[in-house]
Amino acid sequence: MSVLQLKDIKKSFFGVQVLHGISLELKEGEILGLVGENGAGKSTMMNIIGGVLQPDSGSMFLRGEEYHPESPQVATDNGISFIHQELSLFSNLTVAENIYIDGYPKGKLGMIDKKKMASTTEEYLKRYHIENVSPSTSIGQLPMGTRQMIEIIKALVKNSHILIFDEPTTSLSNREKELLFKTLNELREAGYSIIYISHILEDVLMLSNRIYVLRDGSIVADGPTEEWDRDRLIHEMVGRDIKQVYPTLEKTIENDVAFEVKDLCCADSVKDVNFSIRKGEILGMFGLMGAGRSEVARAIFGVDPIQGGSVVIKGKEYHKTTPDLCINNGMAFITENRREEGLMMPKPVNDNMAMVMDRNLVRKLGMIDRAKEAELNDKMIHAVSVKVTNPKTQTANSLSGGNQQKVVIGKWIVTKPEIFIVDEPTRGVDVGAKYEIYKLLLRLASEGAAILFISSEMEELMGISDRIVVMKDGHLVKSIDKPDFSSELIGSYAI
Amino acid sequence: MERTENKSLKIRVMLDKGRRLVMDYPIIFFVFVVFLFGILFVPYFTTSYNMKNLCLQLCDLLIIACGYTFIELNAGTDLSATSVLCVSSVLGGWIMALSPLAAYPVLATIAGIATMLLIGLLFGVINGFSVVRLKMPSFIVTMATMLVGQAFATWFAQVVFGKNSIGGLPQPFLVLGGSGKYFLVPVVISLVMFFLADFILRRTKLGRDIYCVGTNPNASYISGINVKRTVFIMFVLCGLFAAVEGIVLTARNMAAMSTLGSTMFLNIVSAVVVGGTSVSGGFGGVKQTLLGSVFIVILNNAMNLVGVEWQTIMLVQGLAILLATIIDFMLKRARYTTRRRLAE
Amino acid sequence: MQKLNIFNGKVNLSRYGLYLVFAIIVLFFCFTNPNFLTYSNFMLILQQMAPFGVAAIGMIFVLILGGIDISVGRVMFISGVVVGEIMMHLPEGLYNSPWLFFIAYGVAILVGAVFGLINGVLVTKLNIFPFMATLVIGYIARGLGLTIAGLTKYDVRALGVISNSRIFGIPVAFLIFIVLAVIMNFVLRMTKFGKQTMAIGNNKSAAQQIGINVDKHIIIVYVLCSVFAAIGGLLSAGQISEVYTTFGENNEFQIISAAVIGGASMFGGKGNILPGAIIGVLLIQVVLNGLGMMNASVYIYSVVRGLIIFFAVAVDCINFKGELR
Repeated sequence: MSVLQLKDIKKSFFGVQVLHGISLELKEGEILGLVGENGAGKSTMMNIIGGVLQPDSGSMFLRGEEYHPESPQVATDNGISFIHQELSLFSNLTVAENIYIDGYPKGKLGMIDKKKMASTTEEYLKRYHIENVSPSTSIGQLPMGTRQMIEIIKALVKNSHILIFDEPTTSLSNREKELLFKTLNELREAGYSIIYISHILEDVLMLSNRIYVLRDGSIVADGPTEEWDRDRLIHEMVGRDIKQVYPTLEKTIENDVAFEVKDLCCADSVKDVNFSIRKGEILGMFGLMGAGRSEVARAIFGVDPIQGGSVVIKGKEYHKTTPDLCINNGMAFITENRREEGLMMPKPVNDNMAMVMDRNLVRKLGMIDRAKEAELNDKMIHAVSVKVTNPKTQTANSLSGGNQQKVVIGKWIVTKPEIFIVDEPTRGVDVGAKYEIYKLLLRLASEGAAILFISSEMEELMGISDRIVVMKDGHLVKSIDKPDFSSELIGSYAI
Repeated sequence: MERTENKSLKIRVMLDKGRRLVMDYPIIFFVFVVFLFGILFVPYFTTSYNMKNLCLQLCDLLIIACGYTFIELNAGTDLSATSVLCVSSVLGGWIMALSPLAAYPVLATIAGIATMLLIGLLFGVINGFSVVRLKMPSFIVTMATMLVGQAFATWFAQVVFGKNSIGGLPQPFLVLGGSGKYFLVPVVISLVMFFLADFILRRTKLGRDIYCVGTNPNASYISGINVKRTVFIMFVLCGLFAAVEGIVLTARNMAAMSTLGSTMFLNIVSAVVVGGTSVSGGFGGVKQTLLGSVFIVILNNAMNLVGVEWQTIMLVQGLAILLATIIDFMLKRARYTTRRRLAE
Repeated sequence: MQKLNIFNGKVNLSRYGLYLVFAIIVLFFCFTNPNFLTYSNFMLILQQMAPFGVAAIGMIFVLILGGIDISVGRVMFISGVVVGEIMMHLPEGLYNSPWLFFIAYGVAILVGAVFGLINGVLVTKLNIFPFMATLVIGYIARGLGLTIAGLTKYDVRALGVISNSRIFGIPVAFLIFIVLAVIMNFVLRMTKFGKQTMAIGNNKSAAQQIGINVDKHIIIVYVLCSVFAAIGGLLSAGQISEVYTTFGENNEFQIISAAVIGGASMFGGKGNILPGAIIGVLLIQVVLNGLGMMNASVYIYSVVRGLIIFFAVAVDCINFKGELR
């Protein structure tokens, strides 16, 4: 029985077509897997189903009836619950208060019927084996896995029969994941319909009845899970022969260790991490979200405080770092979030380019050597081939994702650093620009730079790195050399 | 074909330049309008007496508004700027007129000026420290320092002077106020402060840092900019500029007053915000503040001459700031919206 | 990654530290002035704190949302002015009847609502920082009020019937405050509106994700704040008997301090009406009252007000991890 149907859904943003006519069907009592690369359009599609966005054209049907959710509220009222990657829970309220946040059971005088809330909540907590939690526990005190379960209960209490999960396991421990999968299977048996979006292909293969593959805004393949395997999935997702995407460059890795991390600890997300990078080496770092990769980078650079262990930069050991210190020692940090931490979006390209280099251009009275600044700006724009006609006035905001990323890279390489930390440098970047960024990184390494390349895309890590380390739950669990690269091996350590 | 293409490109470039000028200095248009209005409709507006008045008022407003611009560039606020005026005035006045130094005019003047600058520094340090180290919001901190400062100035005047103000300031000091043949002195001082502020903002690393921090403090920190130090210095600069203003005003009034500047705050914020410095930080500068000061001074002057009461002037200024903030919001939205223009 | 708002024992200690300081101050007053600890003085304190208590109720809601409203003092002023104007032109009959109070408070609520609405719209639709928006609106309110009033000092003695009278020795104004506090505490704790206010203050994007109309909610809260301020303003005017040119000036500090001392945080997501509003306003009023008993000079009041708000907020800000401005 078809529970949800999408027919030829189209959507574009600012003149760019994001969904090219999506049609899909969700049946009763099944788990539908949805896979696709970053930017393929998964989130947009789910937001349309969930009432957050409106489609430009196309139609949706709920149990045969037309379905046009103008707001998330309408979607919820129709029995569709969307469990986002960023949970919609409030840490200053209790479990019961969160579950009923958009509709409290009313008692006398319009008062919230706290007893009814508590008893229903209690019932669900018991049914899904959530221990050590009572309806009056504050969300702020619960671990991520439990919070995830609370979100699910929220959906169930509202009598939702369609649940959409967006990357639900990124912050879960193994045990929590097992519990989640057990619950999902139970729900499926009971007749619920689930759309499961994840980039962890093994999970999708294990859980789902059918799989849709989304690429560049279109469904490129679908079929029952039995007909799929990992390689075929990747092939459909990526749509090209993987080997051609990555540039190659002859380079030698020297014996000198440029950079070393010893027993690094930071809050709860980085635990006793050890690794080293040699000059000319590109060290890839893989891990699921929440594994601690970006946290390692931030701790190294001093953005988050180091709480244990040390960092050795060019032979000198530091137990506390700041970005200023690291930059003075020839390091660069290209963060995963260029919009918030890498660029000044409303400012012109030149201003952005100058952010790091200005510290070296100070002359008498604190003045900036503007001639040199302009010269270096020009040089950098050409060095990273940013497509911009007037860098003095064109804002970072008006550039494409790939060009924005190039500006960030350009901003850092001006000071000729010898150690780079790059975190998801190709996120939100189109294919052509990705290739150019890979070329850039390889060239930097060939000139003697040591690079820590953090990414959630296994393929690009395998294509560019000389070695890969895998992070899991805050620990660095394995180091894998180039000859042994394989996605099964890497994935097995990460999950 | 080519020629028309060239022409249309030229026109587009010119329009773009024009659009940019308006986006950077939206106030220019209004300055012209209000000036024209003054010349055409306001009695006595164009007399030399009035023009001189306007000039002096402009200088007065400009100094402290330039200092306030630093704060506004980080979307902060400094409510205590006016308290710097009265506290520095009474303390400086005491040193110059009542302390043992009063007998030596030149020495007293130097000591007085030094004291007043120190007061500005003190306020700046307290404000800056509280915002940077104690991580308090600037409007609370400066609210508190304003209250304490104001109370102190009033108390000090009553206790030490016995009244709200005293005269008898040394002659060398009064020169700074611009009486008689020294008319140009405050003009020069304000121009110096203006160029100093502009220099800092446009030509020094500190100025670059101020703009970066005001736009995106996270990215600035990761890029190695010392965000805390930059914010701290912003408050110190504001305090110092306010102190210079205190010096000029005290000299002009030829008296140390505990009520100095108590109604100036609205003018200061008006000059900065209406001038075009963005209330959300990162955009603007003292050139805009100069234009804003011109506008506010002419507007006030015109309204006064026409006979509008001060209460209504306050209302009009409030509305002007509101309008400016709304326009700033629209500009901000334009800046933050993705637009693929001439390039790709 | 979701921010984890873990209850931090450190903050609580600092808040208790603040209470301790207050306790010491109160003890000091008790010892230095025999009249301090009397029943009649206590009743006076309750009466004087009532207007600020009412205003604090509204402010607490705004703080829970993570916003601020520094126009409340001036909204008190303009609502007082408008009410005063109307009272001046009321026919004899109405003036002497109990209808006066309905008219007066009704008008005040209306004026408050208008300004609250403007504040809310500026903050939500135009994304102007709350302190900036309310700062400007405050000036506009004051300018408008002064323009209407001119040099007139409004005689609102008639309002004193409510503001100054006592039932069984307890000030009516205080009772009004308690009633409003109980009602709003109920709203905050036991209604969807209250819970959603806490939610928005904790995680605005999640609230939007869920489908809560965040903008509308924020506007309603700002309206509440100004309305309560206006009511408090009338209570205060009745006690002082007149609305003069600097009525309500700088009241913001006391109200915000009271809310923060009572447990609201400048960063949103926290706050309570009972006992928060009562504790906060009471502590401050006690200190001010004690100063009065000591015949402290006028200046000390300003200094004390400044210090109170500084330390109350400093304590709250210890764990702030956001942008410095």
